Amino acid sequence: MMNSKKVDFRNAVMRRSTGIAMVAIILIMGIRAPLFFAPANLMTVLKQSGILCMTAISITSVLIVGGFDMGAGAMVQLVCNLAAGMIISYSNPALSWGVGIGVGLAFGLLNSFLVVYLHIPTFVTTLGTMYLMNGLSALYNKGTALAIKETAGFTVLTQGSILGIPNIFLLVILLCGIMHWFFKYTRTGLRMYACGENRNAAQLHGLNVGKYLILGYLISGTLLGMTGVFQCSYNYGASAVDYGMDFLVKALASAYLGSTFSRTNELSMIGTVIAGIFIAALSNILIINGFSNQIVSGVLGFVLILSILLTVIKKRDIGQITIF
Amino acid sequence: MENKTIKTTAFSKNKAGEFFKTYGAVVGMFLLLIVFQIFDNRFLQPANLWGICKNSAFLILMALGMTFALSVRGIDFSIAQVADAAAVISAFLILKDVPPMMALLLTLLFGLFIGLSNALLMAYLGVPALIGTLGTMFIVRSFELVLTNGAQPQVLFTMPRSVTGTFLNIGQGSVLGLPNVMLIGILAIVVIYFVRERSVLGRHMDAINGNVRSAFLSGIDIRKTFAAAFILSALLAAVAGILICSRAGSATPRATESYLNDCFVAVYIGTLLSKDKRFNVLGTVIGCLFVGCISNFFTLMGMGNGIKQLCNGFFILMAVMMGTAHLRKKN
Amino acid sequence: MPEGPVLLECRNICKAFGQNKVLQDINLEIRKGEAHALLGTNGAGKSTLVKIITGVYSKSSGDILLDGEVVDIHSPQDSERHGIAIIHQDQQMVPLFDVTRNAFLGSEITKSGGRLDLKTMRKQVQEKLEFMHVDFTADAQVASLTVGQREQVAIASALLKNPKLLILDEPTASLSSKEISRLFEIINLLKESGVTIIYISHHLDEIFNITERITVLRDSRVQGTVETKNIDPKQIISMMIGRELKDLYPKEPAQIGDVALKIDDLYSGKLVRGVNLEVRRGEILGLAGLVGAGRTETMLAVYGAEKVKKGNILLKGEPYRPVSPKRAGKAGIAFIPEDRRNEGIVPAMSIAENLSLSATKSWAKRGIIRRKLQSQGSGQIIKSLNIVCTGAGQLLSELSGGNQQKVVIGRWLIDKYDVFVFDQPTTGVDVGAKAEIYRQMVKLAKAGGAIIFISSENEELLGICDRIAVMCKGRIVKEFQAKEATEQELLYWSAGGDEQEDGNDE
Repeated sequence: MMNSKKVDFRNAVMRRSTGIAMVAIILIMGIRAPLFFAPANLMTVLKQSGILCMTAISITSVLIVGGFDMGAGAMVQLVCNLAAGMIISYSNPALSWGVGIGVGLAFGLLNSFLVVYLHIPTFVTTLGTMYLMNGLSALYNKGTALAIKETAGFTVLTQGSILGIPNIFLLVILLCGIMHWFFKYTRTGLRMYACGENRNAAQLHGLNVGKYLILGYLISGTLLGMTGVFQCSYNYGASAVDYGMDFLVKALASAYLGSTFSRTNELSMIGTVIAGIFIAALSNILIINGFSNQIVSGVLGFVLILSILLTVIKKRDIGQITIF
Repeated sequence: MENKTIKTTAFSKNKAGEFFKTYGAVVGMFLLLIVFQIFDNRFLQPANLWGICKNSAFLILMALGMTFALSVRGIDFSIAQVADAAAVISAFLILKDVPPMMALLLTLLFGLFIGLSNALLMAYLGVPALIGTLGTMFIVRSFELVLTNGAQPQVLFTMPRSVTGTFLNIGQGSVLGLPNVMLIGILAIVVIYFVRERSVLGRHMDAINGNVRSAFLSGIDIRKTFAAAFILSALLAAVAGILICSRAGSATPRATESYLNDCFVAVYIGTLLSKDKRFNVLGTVIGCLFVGCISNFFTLMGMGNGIKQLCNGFFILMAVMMGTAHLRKKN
Repeated sequence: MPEGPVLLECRNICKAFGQNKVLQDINLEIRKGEAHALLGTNGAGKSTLVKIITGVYSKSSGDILLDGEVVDIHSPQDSERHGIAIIHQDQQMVPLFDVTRNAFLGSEITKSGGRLDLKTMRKQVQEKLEFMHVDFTADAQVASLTVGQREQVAIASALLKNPKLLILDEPTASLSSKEISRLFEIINLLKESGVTIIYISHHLDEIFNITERITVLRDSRVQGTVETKNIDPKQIISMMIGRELKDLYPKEPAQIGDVALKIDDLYSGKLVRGVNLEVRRGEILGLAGLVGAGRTETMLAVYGAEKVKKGNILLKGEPYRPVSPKRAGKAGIAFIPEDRRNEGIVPAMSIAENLSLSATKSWAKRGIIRRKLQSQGSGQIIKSLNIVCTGAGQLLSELSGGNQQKVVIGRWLIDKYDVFVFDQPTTGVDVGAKAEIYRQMVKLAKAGGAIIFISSENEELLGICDRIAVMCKGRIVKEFQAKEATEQELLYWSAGGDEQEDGNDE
């Protein structure tokens, strides 16, 4: 009895430790640079976190079903390029949306086909398709940036604001709300969670795990497609620099860090978004504190390792090695 | 008796299929090379092939490291980044007037340190290798960028030859007409072949790959074996980095990162060359040479990065598809 | 209990896997409202019968009747539709869901558009939970529940479908005695409300506590159905056994020497609760007991593969602390694991490679494995164990079960060890290989090794051991000289014996 109470206490601290640590880091760093807390800057942080949060939400929805996606960042980049191209050639945002979501779905289908029907491990599958997407991006933009001009009804989506709150952040909140509702309060969402959390239990209850994995890849593909179009709008086009891996690491860090909010390390949309905002805030505050941009990526790597460490350290046992 | 004869005829009929299943990939690669030759007749010129072999040494070192990591069912994303950082660090130290041999030693120590920290994270703390090495990759990248003050190239060849001579000679010199780089590559292949395929450590790695629980219960220190794979891969990457720097006489941060892609392609193609589609040293080496050929061909044809990336994806997916299909048919 | 009408009837059910007949002419009547025990030794056919009733397997011939009518059951869904529910031994739940979501997983109630109707679901679950008088609510997260409580969730989940017949498959395997008595209260409530229960367990005390009738299966046939109150445990046991000892054991007397391993008050995990045991050189000690009694876990703890909570161990008279299997091996303990396929062999490696795993260094010089040493050494072991193969290079996945097992044993013949643990080495092994394994044990004992032989087949324990210790619920409850023991007695003590619950569980 005593023992279990002690464990409960430890768990309670552990569960809150992520939140406490986040607030502490921001406060300490913030004291050195009070500029951070200026309302305008806070809004900038929210704006900067937008695309990251969307990517993280997409990757979380595939992690929830027990899948993995190496190509999340690459997909955002590919769609961003295509969307920019559509605007430049036809100045038609609707076409961008169509192409973006279509490409997202297509790669979602390809991934799930390889994983579910050909039984290729999710990691290698998405590594392969990541290279395909990188290649398509490079072929499409021929190594140059595709800049777009202010386009009515398109750039305002991510650049504008309502009552001082950036539009893109409102979009993130909306998306997060919808996905949270979907995974928590619909039958399909519930079953997807079950497949990812305990595959055996899901099968025992007669669920078709493959079907839900396909669904997960399709949902995340669609969301990544949308994120790519938003990225195009946010960035006024597409840059030629390959940022797929950076996006991936940030998104993964958000998802895993978000999961440490819960005692059972449950991946959740709300946790993901909070962690995403934290990561954006951290980058922002580091820059304000005078650290160079280059340090920020190192801090990101550190956050990624730390967040996964928090989730695995409880499960460790004699002779157990986590593989992949 | 009758039974026996039936069996043998069936066997010989299957022999062609059996051969193709095992070595079909090699045949496919040769066909592809011939197609390349048709497109551009400079391709199969001895001088060109010689160049490919010479340039493959760096990739071979890194890919062998990756083979270690993958053959214990781990993975090492930080490998190209460590090589990159090693190149930068060695150049940086020499520019800071550290004696070349000392710089070399310190760079190797850096590789060892990264390897140890990876090993601690993956084998002893239980971080999944995929996530952990991805994190390491970013930390190392950040480190080298800060070190070089935002990706300033570290140029050695402008320094007096009297200072840098010994160091540059490692990568640029040759013995009896064989470039040093190639000699080091061959030496590495031989040594690693023995470690991976013939040593106690390699045997234990195979056991972990085949069945972790069995390996554990038969008394193998699985954590130590797992750790060794990461240490070896980081060390090999550091050696590759030093060679790249010494060969080029300069090191630009993030210039070597793209080797990661080639590493993956090479090791996954390499699996096709073993009978049971496992990661293996000789397969990896041939995979590296094949990747070298493709890169070379693309350069000759003046094709860009896009096609190359597409091919990377295509080759990885094809290799894994063939591998899993083969294994599933067997079961 | 008045004789109710028959709810479920099995008529002449047969089932064969290939040539292997696992059920022959099973006739069984389950009456409405009773708790009916299915009893039998391992491999008697209980679980196959249950799988046929619940639609996991299809029967080869025979009929299943529900309420007097023949029904077709071809899938778990069919059986569910007919009002049959099963609680599995191993509770598979999604820990991060609450009780409601877990209970309804796979058959959720939804409103339009696939929205979960949580309110209705919660109400229904809460009703069932209140009916069972449990001490948690439908909102509790399953991760925070104990094993016993999780089982209650599983029962609630089964009750949601209002089953007529509820099958409990070894429900007490991982429960504490307090939790077991809770379970029995619930079962009584269920009986009162008219649910019929099939109860599968090895523990006789439980069966005598809550069932009305008992059906005993033996060697794939029904041995008989009896009223629980008209029979006593000893009679039941003789119904379960009824075989004569066959003489296939190559027992030879060996010189019994010093104490090689002495375990004192060992605690580990949940299943090992204070084990005291000693084994001498030259001795074969049998460890009898039921599945889940903690035998394997005890030896895994000694071998360093599970954490030791408390206890002292003396190895060859010296204090010994288990750290890892590697250290254990160095200290002189050899371990042949229970689950050959998942814990013993590496299927993708060859015989020689598999043999080399425990003592790789003996075949290597300066870290490089010598082919000559390897081929000589493996050749010797193949010969001495009569491993049937095409050569030392053959892959383990291509060998038969018995030969795979011999390879796992052969691993420990390269170097010298003092204590050998054989954890159920003869399961799924043909007669020839069995004899070879026994011969090997006797040989090792003669050479001065101390053998600990875990087995669930009491017959072989009696045939080969010098001494037999019986384990039950994490402790050694009885020790016999093998000559003085009988199969009846072993089974009796394994199933809990006359020792009443001592309420010492936490």
